[in-house]
This record gives sequence, C-alpha cells and structure tokens, in this order.
Amino acid sequence: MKNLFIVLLLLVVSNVSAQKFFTKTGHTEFKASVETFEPVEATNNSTTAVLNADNGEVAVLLFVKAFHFKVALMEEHFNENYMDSAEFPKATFKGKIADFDFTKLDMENQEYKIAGMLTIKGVSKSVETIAKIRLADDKILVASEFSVQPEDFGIKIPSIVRNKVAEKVNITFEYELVEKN
Amino acid sequence: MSLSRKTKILLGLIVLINLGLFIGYKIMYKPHQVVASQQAAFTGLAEDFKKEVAQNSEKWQNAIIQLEGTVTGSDEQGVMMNETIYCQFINLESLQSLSLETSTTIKGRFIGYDDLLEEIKLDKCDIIKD
Repeated sequence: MKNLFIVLLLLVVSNVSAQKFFTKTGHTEFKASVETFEPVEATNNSTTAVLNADNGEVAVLLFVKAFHFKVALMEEHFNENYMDSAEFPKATFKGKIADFDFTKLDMENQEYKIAGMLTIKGVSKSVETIAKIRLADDKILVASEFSVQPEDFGIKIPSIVRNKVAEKVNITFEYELVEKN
Repeated sequence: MSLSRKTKILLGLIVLINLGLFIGYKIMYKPHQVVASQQAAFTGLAEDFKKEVAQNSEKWQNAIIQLEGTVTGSDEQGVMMNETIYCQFINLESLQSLSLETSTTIKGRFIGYDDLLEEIKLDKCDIIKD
C-alpha cells in the first residue's frame, strides 16, 4: 500500500514537472561591420538555450570567449579590451515568449514577441524582439534578430576605431531546441 | 653603372616599407591557436577535473584540457563525458568513431561552467589516440 502511494506520487510529480526544450550548441552571431572596413563580426556555436514549453519562459547563456572571429587578433581585442571576458565570461538572457502555446506550433513559421533582460558585461537591460518559431520533426526552431548599442552595456569603443565599428550591433540567433528528458 | 645616392636611398626606403607592411600584416592576421598543438593545462581523469571546476571554474577559463573518461551520451556536434562534461567537436567525422559507454581521451578548450544545464562545456575538441 505504501509502495503504491509512492508510485502514484512519483507519477503525479513527473506530470507536473514542466516540459522543457533545450540546445547547447545554439548559433548566435553579431555584426558590427561598417562598409569598406574590415568586417567586425563573430559567431558563437556553443550557446545554451532552455525553453519551458508550458509557460514560454526562456533562458539563454553563452560564453563570450566562445565567439569566433575570422581574424584572430580581432578576437583577442574583443575579449581583452572590449568585453573583458576574463572578468565577465558570460552573457545571459532571461525572458518570456508572449502568448506561447506549444500546442499551436506547426511547421510554418509563426511570429512571437520575446521580451526579457539581456545581461552583458554585468549590465542588464531589457530588450524585446519578434522571433520566428516553428516545429521541425521533434525540434522547436527559434530564430530572430535584434540590435543593441555597446554603450548601453558599458562597452567603450575607442575614438581611434569609432568609425570602423557600427553604432548599433546586430545580433542574430538560431536555436534548434530538442526535448529534455 | 653605379646608382646615384638618391636612387639608393629610395630603394632602401622601398625595402623598409615592404618589410614593415609584411611584419604588420603578420601581426594583424596571425593564425588562430590550434588546440591540438598546444600543451594542456590540465591532463587527467574527467572526475578529477569536475572537482577542480567545482572549486574554481574561473581558473580554467580558456585553458586547454585533456580528459580521460567515459562517453555517456552524444548529439550531432559532440559527446557527453562522465554525464556532465559536454565536448563539442570541430571535426565531426572523428566524432563517429566514438561509441557509448567506452573509455576515451579528449582534448579541448574549457569555455565555462554552464549553470543552466549544470554542465562543464568544452569546445574545439578532438580525440587523442595513444
């Protein structure tokens, strides 16, 4: 009898626990290029993203050092002079997809508003964007872009390179989320 | 025929400028560091490395790590070692030679402790053969 109770309790608990989707190799890219100058852009293919399919809550975490630039020296400067990645190794986002309903997703892209707090270099700022979300096999595909200003996160661009780095940095991301067991 | 003094100076200047440009170019476009050719900052058992990271994860930032452990999971881009160390590979072909529940040695770069998934993350990984 006691055992049966435990089994029932376990069943209830496992049903209550949220349905989560995640990736640990999400693709995040930023571009701060100015025409005619060396492109200032990098990709991060090790982004972690977790989505709670029950309520649309999302959490994203990436390591700044995992951004890859074409030019190695640029990567070094990015980490040491601009992002201070030894002191602030992570950039995070915590937010929510508005009116997210997992059961309404299909193979066609649907637009959803995502809003939340973006934390870079220890500074948090609220951001929002429209994302395209669809299903592909058993995966949820989320893709979007938005732009931020480096100054908002205390990232100073020295005047000597000011005209080689765009005022607004465009961030694009593409996450293929699989169900977490 | 001997060159005039002016021509000699001019030629010398051209050589110097070219040398300067060449060195400048080499510095600007130096190659990315390759994990395979670098000395590992930590070599040992995956379990021991977990303890090291639990104590101080910042110490290992960006460090080259060589770990011996068991493959406990895999996905399209990498494998899981000892349940909580995710190794993302550069060369996806070498990934296929790994099978679950076997012991292996992997060298890669430590990028950090992922507190969302409670995992250690390595990238630029490759298999080290004895």
